Amino acid sequence: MSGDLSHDAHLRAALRHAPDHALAPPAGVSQTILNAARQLHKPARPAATPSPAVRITVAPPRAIAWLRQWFASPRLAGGLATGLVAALGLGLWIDLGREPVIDRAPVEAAKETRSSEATPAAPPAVGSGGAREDDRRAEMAAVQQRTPEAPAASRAKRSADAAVIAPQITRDVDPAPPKAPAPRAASPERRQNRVAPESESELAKMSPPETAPPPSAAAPTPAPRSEPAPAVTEVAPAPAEATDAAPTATAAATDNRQRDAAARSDMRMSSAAARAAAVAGARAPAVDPAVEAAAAASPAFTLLRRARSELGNGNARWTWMPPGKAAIVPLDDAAHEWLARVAQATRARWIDTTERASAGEALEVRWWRDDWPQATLRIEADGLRWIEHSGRIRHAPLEAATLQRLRSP
Amino acid sequence: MNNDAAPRVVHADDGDVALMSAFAAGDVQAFEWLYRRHHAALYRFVRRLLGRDGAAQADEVFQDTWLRVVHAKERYVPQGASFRTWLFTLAHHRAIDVLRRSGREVALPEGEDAEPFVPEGTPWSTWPRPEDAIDEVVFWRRAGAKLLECLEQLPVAQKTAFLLHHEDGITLDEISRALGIGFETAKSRLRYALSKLRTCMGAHLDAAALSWRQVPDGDATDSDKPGSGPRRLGARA
Repeated sequence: MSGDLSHDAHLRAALRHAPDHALAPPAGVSQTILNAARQLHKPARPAATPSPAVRITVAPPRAIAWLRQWFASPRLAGGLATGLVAALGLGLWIDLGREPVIDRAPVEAAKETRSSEATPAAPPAVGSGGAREDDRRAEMAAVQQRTPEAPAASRAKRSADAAVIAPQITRDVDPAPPKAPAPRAASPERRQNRVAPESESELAKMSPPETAPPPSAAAPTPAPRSEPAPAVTEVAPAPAEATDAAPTATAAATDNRQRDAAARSDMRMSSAAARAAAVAGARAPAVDPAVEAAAAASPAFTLLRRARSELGNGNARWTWMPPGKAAIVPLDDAAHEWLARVAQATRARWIDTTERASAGEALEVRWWRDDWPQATLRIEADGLRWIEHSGRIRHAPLEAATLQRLRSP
Repeated sequence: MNNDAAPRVVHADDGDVALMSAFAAGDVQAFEWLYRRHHAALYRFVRRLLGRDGAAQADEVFQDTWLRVVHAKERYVPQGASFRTWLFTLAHHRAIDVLRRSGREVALPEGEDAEPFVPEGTPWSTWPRPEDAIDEVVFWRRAGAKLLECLEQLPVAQKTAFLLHHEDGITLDEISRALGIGFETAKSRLRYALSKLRTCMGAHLDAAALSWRQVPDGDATDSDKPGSGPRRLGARA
């Protein structure tokens, strides 16, 4: 290059004689790099790989080509779209005509029971089950009339439903408690309680979880014996409050029902459920936001959650260099487990620091996302040091025994 | 072109591009040769670029650079720049990333690329006087140590230009293309770097004072013809 500056011979000579001229990368680093290169070729294709140009020129099989062309044709696309719209319309139309009867039954029954409690003017007749049923039907009709915005068709349907509900109400009054509402009432809670530990499953596995399911949802415990099922619970107060007015037969029936429910509950309590109840009892009663925050602030947990999510979606390729290994390998289940152990061991122990390293030897563990470094964890003599790609450094002091356990992947 | 032919067998003394192509085709040995050829220079470059404060991160930058090479083997296409330039550019970008992350200033002060540099201080104020030098080796080692100190004071951009140009023999044209800067900018940065280093070292060598001293073997300048042997410093000044 004509415009290039010529070298300064003195500076160049000085550079060549600088004390760092004989510096070489540490053997471990070199080994890691060479291992990474070897690893990349382990599942490699045979040596005679066709060049991209060849791959392009190779014609695909005829059938595949025809299929591709057929799928790409506007006629097929139009047909598929029409079919999809038709199926959607049909599904909506069918769905319009259906109303879940079973789902409404317990709700209506509960509503009826509550309304009967709230109307002392119409106390149930002693021992006249038929009259009670009639009253309830009348009330049901009144309730339906109180909803003027409901369309006529819907009202007619509700009347029809009421006929279905009526026998069920009778069954509610009967000693036998309804079976369906109990699990259904518990299910939303149970679902909620299951979501939280699964999202932090790694932490939850090894430590008391932040979210403990309430005993009633986890398993039948001795406590619900007095209130075996929600339907019964709602019905039970009526005779208790209206002791003076209510007939003793109703109270007896309620007692019978409670006893039956308790007996059934006892029968249902298998050994597994008993264990679950014991665990539920041992757990914290509610979610501790501080613990939640600590888990969220844990860099190990954050990285674990991110890696799992991205690996699950296939959005990124995560690799890591396990402790004491000079190879970079994909992040697998063992890696997740190890990271979860780190997250668990360091909970609420991370402290921000500016020191990148402490004196003494340390094992380094590193993570990459699509070959870009994400974090470095140094297992030092007195704890762990987490160095993030962003430059943030945190230190978590740990006991020697814990550190020793973490030294093996 | 016969695409069915087996990939060419490469040797340790083959060119970088040939070795890289062989590595892309599955020849791990080719990568090992490439690594051996460039690892020391690249490590030195990274260490010097990061300086004393960033020495702890040199291994990380060095390793990441090579890992990028490993994973980019199939995407690597020699487009004008040599493999070495590409490699050093990768390392430079990674080092800048690390420096930014650690809060060190990597941008040049405004206008520094454009304004002419006026040397300050007295030339030769700290350069070892020839008569103090015990022998050639000691003299140049001292000079080398001093130069590393002077490098610490250079802005990263100027340091990059100087190291790539003087240590790694990359031309200004290649530097400008690799770093994505204009040729004049690269030239200006190098000029600044040289001027500052000369000042820091007791710069602008006095030809008369050092005319007896020869540049050690293998340090021929761009203008030197191969095989011309060592020459007197004074001749250049």
